[in-house]
Amino acid sequence: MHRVKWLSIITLLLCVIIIQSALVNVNAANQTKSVFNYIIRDPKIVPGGTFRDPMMGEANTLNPLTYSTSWEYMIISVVYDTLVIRAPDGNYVGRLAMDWSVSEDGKVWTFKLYPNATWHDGKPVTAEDVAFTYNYIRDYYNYTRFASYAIFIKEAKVIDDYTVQIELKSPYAPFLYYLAAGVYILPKHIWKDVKPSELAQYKNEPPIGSGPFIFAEHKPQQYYKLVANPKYHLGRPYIDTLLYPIISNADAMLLALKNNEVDVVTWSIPYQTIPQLVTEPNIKLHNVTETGARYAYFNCQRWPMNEVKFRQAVHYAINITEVVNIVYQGYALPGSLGRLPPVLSPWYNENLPPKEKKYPFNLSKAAQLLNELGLIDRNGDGWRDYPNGTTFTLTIYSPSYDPLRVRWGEILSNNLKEIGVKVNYQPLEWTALVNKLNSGDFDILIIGGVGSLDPDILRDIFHTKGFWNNGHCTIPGLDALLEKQANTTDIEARKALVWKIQEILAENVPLLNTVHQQFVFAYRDDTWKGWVLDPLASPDNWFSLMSLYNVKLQTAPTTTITIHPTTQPSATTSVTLPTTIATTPITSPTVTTSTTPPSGADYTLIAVGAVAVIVIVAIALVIMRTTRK
Amino acid sequence: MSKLTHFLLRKITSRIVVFYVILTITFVIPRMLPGGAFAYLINNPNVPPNMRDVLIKQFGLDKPIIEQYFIFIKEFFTTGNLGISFSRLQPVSQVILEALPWTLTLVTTSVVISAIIGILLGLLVAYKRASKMDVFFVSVAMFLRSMPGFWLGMVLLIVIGFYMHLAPLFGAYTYGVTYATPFEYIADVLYHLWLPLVSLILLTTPTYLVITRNAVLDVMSEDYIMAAYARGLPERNILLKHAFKPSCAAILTLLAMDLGVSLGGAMLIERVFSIPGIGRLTYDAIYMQDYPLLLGVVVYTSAVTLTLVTLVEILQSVLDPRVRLE
Repeated sequence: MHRVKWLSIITLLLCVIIIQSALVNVNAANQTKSVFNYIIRDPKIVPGGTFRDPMMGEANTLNPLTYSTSWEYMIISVVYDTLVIRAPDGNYVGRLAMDWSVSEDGKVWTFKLYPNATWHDGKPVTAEDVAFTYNYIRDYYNYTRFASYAIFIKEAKVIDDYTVQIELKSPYAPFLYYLAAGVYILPKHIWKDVKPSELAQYKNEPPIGSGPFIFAEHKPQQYYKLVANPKYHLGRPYIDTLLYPIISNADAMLLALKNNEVDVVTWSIPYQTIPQLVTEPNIKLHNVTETGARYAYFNCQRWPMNEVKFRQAVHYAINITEVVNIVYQGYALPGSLGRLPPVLSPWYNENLPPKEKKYPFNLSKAAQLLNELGLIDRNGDGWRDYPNGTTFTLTIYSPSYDPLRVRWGEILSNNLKEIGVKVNYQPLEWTALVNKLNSGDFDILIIGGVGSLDPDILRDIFHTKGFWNNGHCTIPGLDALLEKQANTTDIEARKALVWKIQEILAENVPLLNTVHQQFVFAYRDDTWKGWVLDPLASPDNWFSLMSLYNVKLQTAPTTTITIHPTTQPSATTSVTLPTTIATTPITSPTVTTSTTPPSGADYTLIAVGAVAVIVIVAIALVIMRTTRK
Repeated sequence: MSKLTHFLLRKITSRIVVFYVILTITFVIPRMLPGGAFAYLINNPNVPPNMRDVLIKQFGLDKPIIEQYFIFIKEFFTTGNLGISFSRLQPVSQVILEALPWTLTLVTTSVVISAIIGILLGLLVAYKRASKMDVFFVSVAMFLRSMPGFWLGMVLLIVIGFYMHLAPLFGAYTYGVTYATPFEYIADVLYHLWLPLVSLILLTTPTYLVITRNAVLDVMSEDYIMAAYARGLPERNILLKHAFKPSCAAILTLLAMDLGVSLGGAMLIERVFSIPGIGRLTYDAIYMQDYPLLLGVVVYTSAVTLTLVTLVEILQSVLDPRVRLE
């Protein structure tokens, strides 16, 4: 009896210790996050299987210094490694770099590399390779895709075999995103022979990288095949073969997903197919909000677009809630007044009022602002005139290839017409639109994109000399702030600046930020589990490809693998964290509220079609028969 | 015989002239487009500035247009070189030659099969003219003929590929698989290509059917057919020996003309079924504004079509000596 009591006390104590140590572990993990907080690593998982990740077009080049399309990125991003990578929750974690630090003045970044990383041809990845890559893009920046960021590099120095120091000309806050997470490290022994003048046409096939997958085969316009790198320094991926079939027909790609011929769809699926897709048991959807926006430039080189009042009047003249719900069927977030999408933490200013609160849709308010500017109908023809008496004509262009933007451009034009503005609204073919944009021949021009995970994009769009400041609007005091945030390496201090910038933008509205469109990706979760979802990236991101495992090959029950991983106790806690982030946008309106037809709808449609055809043919036969007689 | 050589010479020279005109047009048209032929290069912010200069120099875009034209013509006739594709960064001819076999397989197979089916059915309905069968086949032919190719392809893909699981949804063979024997490979390719072939055949057969039927019926009203009837020959003999042979000329002309059309149809079908042929290449070239590639596709396909047409015409001149006159 006595013994039993003691035994139970000991067990209790043991339990407490175990629980405590587990808690300590979790706490430690929260303080310094590593890549293992975001990927599943478990020796019990049996690797194997072919993961089919379709592309819609050919990857034209596998050159990490010049690539431009997302298909090229899909391959390069898993064959090569960057020093660090942006995790789904916005943290940066090491990929080739085990650890890093930045000097007090923000100019010198020191990276410690994983000592066991190797190139696919067997040679070790050393500080030499890293320094070579950064010095190469510094010397030949104009031949690479890093032209605008590489100019900040002063020198990359080798400290020892696995330590490299990158010195910048001036403190540059976006360094981590654009250069440390953006530049793929190249093997010096191969790239030292590549002449910069040949870079443009250097296809780099087969690519030799250090990433989790090794390039195996390419059949033009048919497929790319990669195989798992068994010696990957972060542990081999559980996928054996990564196959990229090229499926040119977007509808066929979706059908192939339903038929289990591919595992993920890498093309934003049409919104109208979503109600049917949510009824499929093994298909999951993932919403990705664009980092950029669908927006309109005001041409500040012309009057009255350079007047804040006029720009505000245009803001009062469009109902963004309506645009989101009707034009985008709910698959968009209302455009923020600070240009950054609300999902871009920590940079999005959460105190910013939504556009519909600050400038609610109100045509009489818009008309009043136009009156204040002196844009009133002077000759009684129903259209507002300039103060000198000539009719005020507002030219609005939009890209004709995108019916959604054409539609809201039309809504805006009609609203403005209602308050007496003579609008000349023209959807234009892409190259013509770009010509108008570059030559500055427009009043309002609707365009889209221009996003980044780093808030320095605001400097590109709003700085007087910004590359994307195509409206040439200048807001007093903004340039200095934009420059300052780019030089502030401390995240909290930089955040304060970026938030302030957004407040200034909300007052001056140099562009009409209409919506942040959402793209919907679909994937299967019956064969492959371990998806790591990122609200700003497609489901087949690097973290997923490192974590996905084939359910059918597992002997141990899968629940034990996902809930109690033995080696990395913190892995699941943090893997579920990005998942919850990701699922929030998924509950966006139409998926749940729209009436979901039964899955037999397609059959009925086909049946109805067939009956209609038979009836028509029968009628035709009867008519032909009677007329012949 | 001298008449035949004269005829051949005349045909071939005229074809070369036509080809030269095509070559010139393909050179001129992209340069007349709004935004210029090289908008992709010049307006694309992803193309680094120095790389742009390198490419412009290499493609000779900085030279006056007349000089560009002479370089283009000279390069083509001396080396067959059509330049380097902007997007693929490979010689245009290499890119095209990789894709051409798939398209040629699809087009030639479908044209031969649909010609055989179409002519046979055409004869059948001409023989049984004004019967229920005639009405049925002609109506079905008209129905198919008026359908857009990509739409028919998509419907077949959804019904047969997706719902019935009788055909794969994409590709020319099972990607990423190694085959034990070449027969396995051929079987796999056939499994992947049968549905695109069926769609192409469904699209082209109606023309053959209707033209054969009408050509044969035309001949049937000639006096010598009446004479054959009068002599008491069996109708089947009259149809096959006396009516079909003369109408072959019309059918062959159609065959020649149809090759170009089929090539165009195959392009849309290829995109629907994700087959790595010329059609996909054309689409990508247009999408990427890759004019050297687009131009190469036009030049190559017109060369193929012109060659095939000339061959058919020569065949025709052998069959029907009247063609050689004038």
